[in-house]
Amino acid sequence: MAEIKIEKKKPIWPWIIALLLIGAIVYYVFLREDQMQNPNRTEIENVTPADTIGN
Amino acid sequence: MENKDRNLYRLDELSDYKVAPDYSDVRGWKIVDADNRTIGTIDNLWVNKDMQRVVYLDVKADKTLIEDSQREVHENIADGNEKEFMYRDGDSHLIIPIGSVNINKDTKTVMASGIGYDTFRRTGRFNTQQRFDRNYERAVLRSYYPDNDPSVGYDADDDTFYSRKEFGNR
Repeated sequence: MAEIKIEKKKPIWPWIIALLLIGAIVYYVFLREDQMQNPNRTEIENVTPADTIGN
Repeated sequence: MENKDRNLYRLDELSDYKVAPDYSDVRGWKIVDADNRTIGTIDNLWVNKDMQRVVYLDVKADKTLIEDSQREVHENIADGNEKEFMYRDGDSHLIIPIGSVNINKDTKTVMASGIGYDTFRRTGRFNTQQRFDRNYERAVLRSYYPDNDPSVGYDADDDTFYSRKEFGNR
């Protein structure tokens, strides 16, 4: 004697939202890192002692 | 009585529902009788939304079965017994209560072991353009199981009808 049950399909939109959220987090983290690294890239001018000795 | 009042829908109408895991989606499978004679192909599943299960298999009757039954109609009309037959040309679908069949997953075949070819041949059919009503469901049960106890939910217009053992309830 057969039986076939049915069930409601799980909606796909929570997965889409989760993926978008993960994407946003990843983007934010990398962008933030980039922005934080920029001030460190300012080159420090080397001042050699020879420059000052001459004066 | 509309199908929605009976919570009866074709599964393909319910885009947000599917066959549950561990159960076979038998659409497209062949259905045979106890003697392995082909009755037809399962075209669709009629489900009761509240009960969350299939109650009927919608079978597209095999061409040979339709031809055999038409031949019998013509013979009976010639004999003056045409009132016994209610179906029309173009009616090619049958419903079979889910509790009347066994499913063989290996061969992808459904077997209606308790109902013979001749019974299917004589059972009224419908076409997919017209929805069947509760009276048709009762007529089908009477045809398949003339000796079954008609008392349990037989006259019910609601879901109680599907609590009969022909639908897999013990």
